[in-house]
Amino acid sequence: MYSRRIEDRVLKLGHEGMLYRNSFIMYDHQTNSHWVHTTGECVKGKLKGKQLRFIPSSVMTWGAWRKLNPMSLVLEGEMTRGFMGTFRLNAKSPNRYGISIGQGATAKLFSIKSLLVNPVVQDRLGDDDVVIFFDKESLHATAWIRGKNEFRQVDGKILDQRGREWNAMLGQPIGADNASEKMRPIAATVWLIERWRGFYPKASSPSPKDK
Amino acid sequence: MTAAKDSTLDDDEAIIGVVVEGEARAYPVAVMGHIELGNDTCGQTPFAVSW
Repeated sequence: MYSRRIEDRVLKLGHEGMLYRNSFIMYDHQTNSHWVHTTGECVKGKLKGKQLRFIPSSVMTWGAWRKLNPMSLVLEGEMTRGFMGTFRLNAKSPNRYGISIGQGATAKLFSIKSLLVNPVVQDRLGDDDVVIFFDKESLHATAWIRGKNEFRQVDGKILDQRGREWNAMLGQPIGADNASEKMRPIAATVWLIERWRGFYPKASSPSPKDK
Repeated sequence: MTAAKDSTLDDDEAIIGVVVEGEARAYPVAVMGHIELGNDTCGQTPFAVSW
């Protein structure tokens, strides 16, 4: 998911009808530049080299989402199945998928397999200390700029260095009445690992088993 | 877009969810699999959803 604002422009994006490294190409109506839908990078046209800004989003079940966001709106429309209309991220195929954070040379990938073993990952992304929380039941990940917070998982709960329990979906301590403690989210996107390596051949997979 | 309370979507359907400027929106994967790309706006933030 991307912001459509580039500098002083608001782009309207359409489907170009072609693939780039097995990822479909978007075009903008304003300049007809070409954008890669999986990375947000402009690869052709007047805006070549520009980067759409990721907006953090989540992939989970509708039931889980509406419990978290009871006032949510939901898109209705024709539904399809098959490869494009089905997302069954399950623990039986953890080697196929990973969670990616960052972009370009700073991008990092954490396989579902590694996250099942270690569902709280603290790492660096550029100049930031970050944390990834992975829920083993929903197979859903969130990622946050953690600042000086240190996290560990104890009996299924996420605790900080002060022993406070955190809500992984909201990025804040449970029961916190101070919004300033909410961490800043970063985009954590689901990728087929093979496809991710095609886009980020020089980027790292921090988990030894992912290499 | 339909309010959550009025939606007939099954609870186990996968969705792409986003909260922008305090507004939550969900895009079912099965719908995105059909259209692949959508332009939307929350408040002053225009964004694109792709699948």
